[in-house]
Amino acid sequence: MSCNLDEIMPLRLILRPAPGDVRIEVMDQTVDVVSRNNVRVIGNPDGRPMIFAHGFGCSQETWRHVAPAFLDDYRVVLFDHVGAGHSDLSAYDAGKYDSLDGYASDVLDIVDQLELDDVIFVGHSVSAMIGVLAANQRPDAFGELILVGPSPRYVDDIGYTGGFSQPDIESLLDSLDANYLGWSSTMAPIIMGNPDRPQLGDELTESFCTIDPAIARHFARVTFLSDNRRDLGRVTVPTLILQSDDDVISPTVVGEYVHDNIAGSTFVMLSATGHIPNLSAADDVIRAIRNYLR
Amino acid sequence: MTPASLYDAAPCGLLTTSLDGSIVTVNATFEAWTGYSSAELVGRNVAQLLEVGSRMFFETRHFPTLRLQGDVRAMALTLERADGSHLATLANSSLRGDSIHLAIFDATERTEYERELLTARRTSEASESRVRVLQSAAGAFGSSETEGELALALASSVRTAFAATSTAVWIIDDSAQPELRAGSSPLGDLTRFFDGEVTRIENVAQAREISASLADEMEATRTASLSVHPLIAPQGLVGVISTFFSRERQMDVAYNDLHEALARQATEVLVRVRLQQQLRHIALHDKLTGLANRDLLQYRLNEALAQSVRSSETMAVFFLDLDGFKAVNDSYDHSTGDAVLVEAARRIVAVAHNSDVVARFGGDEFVVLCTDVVENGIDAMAEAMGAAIRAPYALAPDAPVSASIGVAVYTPSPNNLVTSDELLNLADDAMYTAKGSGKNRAVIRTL
Repeated sequence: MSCNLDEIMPLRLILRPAPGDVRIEVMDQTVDVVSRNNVRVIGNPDGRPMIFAHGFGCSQETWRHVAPAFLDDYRVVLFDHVGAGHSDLSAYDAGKYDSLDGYASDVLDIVDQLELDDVIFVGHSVSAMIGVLAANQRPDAFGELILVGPSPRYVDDIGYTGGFSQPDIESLLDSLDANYLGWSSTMAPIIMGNPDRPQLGDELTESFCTIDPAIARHFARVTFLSDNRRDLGRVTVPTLILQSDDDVISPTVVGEYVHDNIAGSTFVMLSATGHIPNLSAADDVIRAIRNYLR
Repeated sequence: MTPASLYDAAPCGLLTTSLDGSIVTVNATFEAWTGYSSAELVGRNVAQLLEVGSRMFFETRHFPTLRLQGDVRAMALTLERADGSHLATLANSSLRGDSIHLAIFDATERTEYERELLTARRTSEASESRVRVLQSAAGAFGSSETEGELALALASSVRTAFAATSTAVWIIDDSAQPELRAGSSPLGDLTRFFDGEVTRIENVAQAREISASLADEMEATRTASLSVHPLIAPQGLVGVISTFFSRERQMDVAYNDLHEALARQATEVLVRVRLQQQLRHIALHDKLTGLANRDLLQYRLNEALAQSVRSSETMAVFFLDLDGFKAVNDSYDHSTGDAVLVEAARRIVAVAHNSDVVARFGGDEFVVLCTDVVENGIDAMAEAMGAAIRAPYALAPDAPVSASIGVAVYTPSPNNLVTSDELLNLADDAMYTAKGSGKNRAVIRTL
């Protein structure tokens, strides 16, 4: 399937009035970060701040089995990236979120708004690199980076194995489309057979991993076509890398690359398998984080 | 039939896996569809049986949803068979205890149909997006009345159309010096790297072929790709738009065509806006001296009067009529007369404040509208104007020129309201008094 028109933004994102539409230089200083990113602060209010950042494909819900273990000792901050979960979709500015830098600046907004310091940032999947970018911009604010299944570049390059080719990424976009064509939020009530009771459909699509299809496409591109390898060498914050076995999205060889390129980093192989150990082997992840922070 | 044979003969693939996706049991239908035997399948991760895009979707989307929700229905997944061919399926999955149960349906026909729909939809969305971008840009450009507004509209349209990190629009005017009028450039003034052609730089390596310092700056500012499009009007280069991306972007034909179309639209409007500005200037200014003409004076006088009434601040109108100007025309010629008028205008402007309006009222008559009146400043200003006009004119040394000046000074109060005509007439009147009492002097009237 030809995708050369894809760099032109999809209609829905064009129709959405971007915050930058009028004056593109003026940053809105009064933006409500908490509702924009659906920020939840729980746990010990006097504890050291610990931010959990979710990866591509779902929302802060992916931390639901891990975060509770840290509530007694830490001030736990959960949030959704703009476009995911219950974030404010109207805040989705395609230009801003066309690179991971836009997401990193949101993380810094959260740090600033909540006045956090000595932050432990736990980032899964694409959020691992988002954390790296945020910490590189403001190393003073971060005490620890914990990267779960990180990858600085998913597409292979000369002398680098990322695990995917460019056509693989296009294939993922096809897969996204194949799934959202018949199963989008507008179709769900009809499929449920209850057009008069849309709340049933709402439950279905609202429950978990809510995602806007147009944004999901763009986020997939940004996630899987970014190259942040050079940012690894600039990390000065102490870093832990958690790698699970048999992770088809971020293979072990990529985790090792991250380890080799972040000076002084710690690499821990989990006994978990798959790309989302925080869901499949939460205890394993909790133990590894606790051991490192001890 | 026994339950076991029902299981094997079911017209759908049935699998059970452990929570991490390792296959525990499969039915015969699934074996037949995939071309793998049960022995080959058991122990393998179900994700490994998927085509790569489906595998990525499965891991990032299907898996977390299933874990959190317990059920996922009708997820489109493409299987990769033993012989490498693909089978489009729809899968229902349920989480029960320590197992995941999957029912997989052959969806080849439906998927092919959907794929056609999808291709059609993508194509139409892409062209509709393009049309929409151009339409909304045309609207934004068309309602621009100034170069600045147009520059903002162009920067905003392009940024939205391509999801660019930032855009910068430089406008080039008569001075040929590009001026940044909208947006921002992470690389400062980019026009120094630019030769007037469309330039597309998809990555830092390409930038390095053009200029090492450009490549270094791109790295330092986290700029991964950029493009530069000139705004070319019939009379030449009138501007430049540059578009910056923090992520490497492919700038293919579709990108370039749309970008060029936007640049072309904006250029047409820019030319029109400039022409309108020129026409407006011509309509409101005196051609010889470049001063405001009577129409503009009238407009500014009304404006100043209203403002003065609101703020109760004093304003003044100076009416100057040159003495001895007729002799210049008689002793020399009309072009010398014109040159003296131009010089006199220049001298009045030099004496006036920056905020004053200096107008040529007609022939050898000038009016200065002064809203920035300081106490005792009127006398000094009239004195300075008289002295400036009186100074010798190199082109007409034998025809001395001076000025008769009438000044109307007005401080508004509720029972002392005047019209702009009354104010002008009062100044005119004072000028005639000055002329009648020997010329080369000023008469001040206060209202």
